[in-house]
Amino acid sequence: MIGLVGAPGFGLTRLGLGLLRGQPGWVACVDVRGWLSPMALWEMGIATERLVVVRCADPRRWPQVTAALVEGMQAVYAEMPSGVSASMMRRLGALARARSTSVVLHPLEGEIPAGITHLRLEAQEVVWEGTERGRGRLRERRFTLAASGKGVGGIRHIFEVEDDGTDAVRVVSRLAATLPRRAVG
Amino acid sequence: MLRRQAEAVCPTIDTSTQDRGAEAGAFEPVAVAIESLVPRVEMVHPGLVFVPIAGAVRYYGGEAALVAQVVAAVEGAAGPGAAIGVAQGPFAARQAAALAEAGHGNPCIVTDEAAFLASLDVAAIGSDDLASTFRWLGITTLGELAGLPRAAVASRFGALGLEAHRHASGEERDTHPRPVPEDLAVEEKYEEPLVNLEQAGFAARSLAHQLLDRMRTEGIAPHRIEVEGESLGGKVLSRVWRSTDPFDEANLAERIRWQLRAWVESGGIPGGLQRLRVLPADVSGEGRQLGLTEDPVSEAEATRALIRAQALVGPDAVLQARPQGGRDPRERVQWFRWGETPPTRSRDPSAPWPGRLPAPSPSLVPPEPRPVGVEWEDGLPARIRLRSRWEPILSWAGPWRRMGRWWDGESAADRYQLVTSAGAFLCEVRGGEAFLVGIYD
Repeated sequence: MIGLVGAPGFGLTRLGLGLLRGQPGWVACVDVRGWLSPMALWEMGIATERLVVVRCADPRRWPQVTAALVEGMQAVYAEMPSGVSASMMRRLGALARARSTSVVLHPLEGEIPAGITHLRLEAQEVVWEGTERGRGRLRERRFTLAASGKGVGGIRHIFEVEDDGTDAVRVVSRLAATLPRRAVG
Repeated sequence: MLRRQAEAVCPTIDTSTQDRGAEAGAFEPVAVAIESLVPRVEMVHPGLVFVPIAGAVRYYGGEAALVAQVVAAVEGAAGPGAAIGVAQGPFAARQAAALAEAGHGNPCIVTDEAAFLASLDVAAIGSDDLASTFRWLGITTLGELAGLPRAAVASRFGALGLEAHRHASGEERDTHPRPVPEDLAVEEKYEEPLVNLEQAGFAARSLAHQLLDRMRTEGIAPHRIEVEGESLGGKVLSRVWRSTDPFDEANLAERIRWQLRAWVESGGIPGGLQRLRVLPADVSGEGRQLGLTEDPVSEAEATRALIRAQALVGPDAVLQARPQGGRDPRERVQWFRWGETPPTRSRDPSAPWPGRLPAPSPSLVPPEPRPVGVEWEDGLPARIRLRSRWEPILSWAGPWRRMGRWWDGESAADRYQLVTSAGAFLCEVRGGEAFLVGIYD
């Protein structure tokens, strides 16, 4: 289970779905606001007939819907509404581990409770290339992510990721192995 | 036509719901009457039954004699009006019966099947789309279709075209039969005999599910199934159901339920049902072909998960999509409910669509454009309001102009890609107002 934290615009939707792209079988998306556009996902190479979007705006029903998908699917991308309890999230995390389903969680607001995700990716910065003052078009972006959690051995890493819009997102460089520790005086 | 549309056109119309279960009950005496003459009839749906007559013809002394017997038996059970067609294979027999129906019930016995099929209109293949394409190509009868080289038809029209060509040439569907694996039959015994239809419905559903689950792992699908029921007194009844397409779970459960209802209502199961058995009578070699990386178990699990999600959020919220033509990201997606066949595309995605935005597309698109604050300096975008603060626009591209439907009073709109340090946004400026139409997330 991977958690993505950051405001819309930092490329986390594409990143999250890009992580599930290679999974066999269906890719299920839980769409809370009804905003998810499959056009971008098709451009990434997710097959039209293997993508199914489940819209669920109700935070009380969201855990049941997501649990049903986690139980049956191999790859689930779920936007997470605010107001889902931490205990419910822990049960969902346990289910995903038991079924070995790849789950990417993307909270729309706030944080994922601690101890649920294997890897937590937080958006830090995004730079787009291709546009000038009225010329060109969006071509590719580079964004910086901070990774933490068990998946990176508990040490906070910072990655730079390149995304050219058509192919999978790829890690370009590991800018810094660890952040400088705060000096304790 | 949908009921709502029909009622809109004609408000005084009387509508009644079709009850196939009741029809099956009403048709049961006919099936029983025919079965008393010829064993092992195959039901397609209540009202249509196939009777294999190869043996019976010899027994009754000719086709005409047998048909006369069948007509008399059906008249005795349900009154006059039966349409009977006799031919070599089910497809031709079905067409002959349709002809007999049109000809006021005189039985139609086909002696020269090739000539009979060749004279039929191309609409007989059953697919309106395909038939109209054939017509447009100047092929109006099945004979002309059969005259085309099969490889060419198959490569141009795919599996459906190949099937049509086979029918037109008088070949039957099961030309490549496949052995039925042992132990595919599913059976349930009931300690408390089933007496009411609701219980029968649940039993039907569970057996259909078990049977198809078993067959799925073999990669095959049934075209014909045999339903066998045993009453409390040990009386065994059985009936074969046939379908042109392989049965799916819902279809199969429905057929079993109809049959049980028919038996119950005709009093065929005195004392209730104590055993129910369903076995495939004929499996299709094509079955359901899985992809290289698919495995049948995970496919079935995924389907179950989606059915569960559908039950939780409703069928309108479990969606699939496919591309269609259009200029805006929202227009270029055609949504349809999961599990349903996609509606026909009204806009061709391969057409040029001038003014279409280039890839990459925004991954978040609000269902309706949302008003957003954009500050302009000398006609150029300078700042955009995100949540509660103004973000300076670092660079931008566009505008891509979209001529609105001016005949509907829609004004022209300019689309801009605006890049800030917090990401890129797609905005539309219409009549001096800015709207957010996508986020490149």
